[in-house]
Amino acid sequence: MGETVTRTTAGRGAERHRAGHRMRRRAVVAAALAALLATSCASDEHDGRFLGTREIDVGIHKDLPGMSLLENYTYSGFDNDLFLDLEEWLEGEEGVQVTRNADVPSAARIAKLQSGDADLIIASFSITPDRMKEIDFVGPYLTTVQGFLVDADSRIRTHADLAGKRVCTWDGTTSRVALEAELEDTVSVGGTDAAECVRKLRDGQADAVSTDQVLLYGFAQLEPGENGLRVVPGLTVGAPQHYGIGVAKGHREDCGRLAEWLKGYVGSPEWQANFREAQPLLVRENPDWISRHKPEDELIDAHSCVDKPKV
Amino acid sequence: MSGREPRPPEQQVEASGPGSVGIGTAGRVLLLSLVGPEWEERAERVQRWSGWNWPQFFLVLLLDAVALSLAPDGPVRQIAWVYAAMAIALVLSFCRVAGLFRPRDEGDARGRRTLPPLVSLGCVVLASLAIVGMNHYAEHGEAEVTGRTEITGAASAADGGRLTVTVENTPHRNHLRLSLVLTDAVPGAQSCVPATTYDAELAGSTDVRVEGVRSGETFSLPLGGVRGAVRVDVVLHTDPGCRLGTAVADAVLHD
Repeated sequence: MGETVTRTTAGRGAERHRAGHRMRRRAVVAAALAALLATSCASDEHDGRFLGTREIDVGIHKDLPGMSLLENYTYSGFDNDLFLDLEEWLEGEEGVQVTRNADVPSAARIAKLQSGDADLIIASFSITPDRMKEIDFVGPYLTTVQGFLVDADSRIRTHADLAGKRVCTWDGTTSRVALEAELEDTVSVGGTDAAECVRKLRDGQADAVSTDQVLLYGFAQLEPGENGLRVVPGLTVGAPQHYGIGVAKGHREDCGRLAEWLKGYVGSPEWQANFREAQPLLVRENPDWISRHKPEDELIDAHSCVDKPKV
Repeated sequence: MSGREPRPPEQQVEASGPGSVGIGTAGRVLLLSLVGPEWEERAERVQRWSGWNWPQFFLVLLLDAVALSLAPDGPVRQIAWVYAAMAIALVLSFCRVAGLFRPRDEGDARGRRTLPPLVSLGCVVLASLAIVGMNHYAEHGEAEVTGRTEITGAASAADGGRLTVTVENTPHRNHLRLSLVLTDAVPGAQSCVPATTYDAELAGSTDVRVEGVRSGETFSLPLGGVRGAVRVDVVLHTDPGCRLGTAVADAVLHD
């Protein structure tokens, strides 16, 4: 009997030992799984990568006063201000390195993203359904409309005054499409970039330059006065242009995070301060500039990280 | 121990009438030599496919055909149950023809013996209900009229642009459910659809009106006894400079 009891006790002890061993083993596995889960969650949020890379290359313009101008080794303009705020967020919150590539012609913006030469494009980049088929946008962060830049002494004031006039637009922009669609009786003068069009205007090879008003005001504020340039008030063509940040397709999660950040930026006083500083002439001549140029959150949701505008 | 042993039942032949003995015997002998002693079981199977099982099947088939001829043009989902009833009636009546509801032996329950006529009755009732259902939906159901709808001025309209949606040869219903899709007329130079809405009203009736409708959104207008062509006036609201194309995504008349 006593032997039986001893054996039974020993058996129970062994079972308890085995059970304890099993529990410890389960606990170790559970802890390992929890650690793995925690690590994977953490890596989703802050693994030092954004858009699949640790070094974000942002393509911007360098020849658009008021938006993105490189002069004497110094950048200025509204796009540049957006870049600086975005850089701060990306480096601080996402833990990636950000570099600026200031050599992006308008006509090459989509190709730069698709080839991987640039990860983001902040370059007065109008969101259109056609472009949304090729790349993603985050935005708009700014809305503008296409206008006309003329010499200060020009008599062009209305659409009728443009009949037979030479109007310069440059490659890879929506400006030329709208002009050809709505003002067929103008004479189209081509340029490779904005600076060339303005040069043609100053040299008398063109009667007007047509593109987005925020760009035109940038040139006009560089050359004010009686012999300078001016934006024709109230003379517009085409639909509003919504500027977005270009992103290569295939990164919807990061794209969505960027869209949320952008909504916060556009709704902040920082946006207004940056615009006021970058576009003083436009702000002076258009008292309702905030309602004209600041996009609503719904518009950002409708255009961000989608293949076609959402309704 | 003398005398002939009785023939097995399958080889016993009884016949009457002039000349029938020889024929009956010859026929049975021939059958036995060709298909063996199990020929009667096979014959019984064939018997299930004939006789009084067929008329009920043809009746159900006829009723289903009539129901099908009454089917309206509307969305299939609304008459799905009618099609289901027709199919069930046809399948069950065919099952009776195939003998699936036949009593297996004499000891089968009485309920089992009454099953075949009940199935037939049920099939006829189901097929008749299908006719009633089809007739009801032809008179009062949803009528798909997207293909009969036209829009004037749809190619490219600007802010304040007026369009007219016309539905021709409409069956009489009390409401029109409509959904329009807006697209950028210059997709390479604008993105205006998210900021665009439209108002719609029944032509000649300012009381019947919806406002602020977005692309792809569905609305319903009461027609108030309008007969013949239905016309809906549409006014676009978009940003200055935007040009939009309009198309009918869905147009359905309903009560």
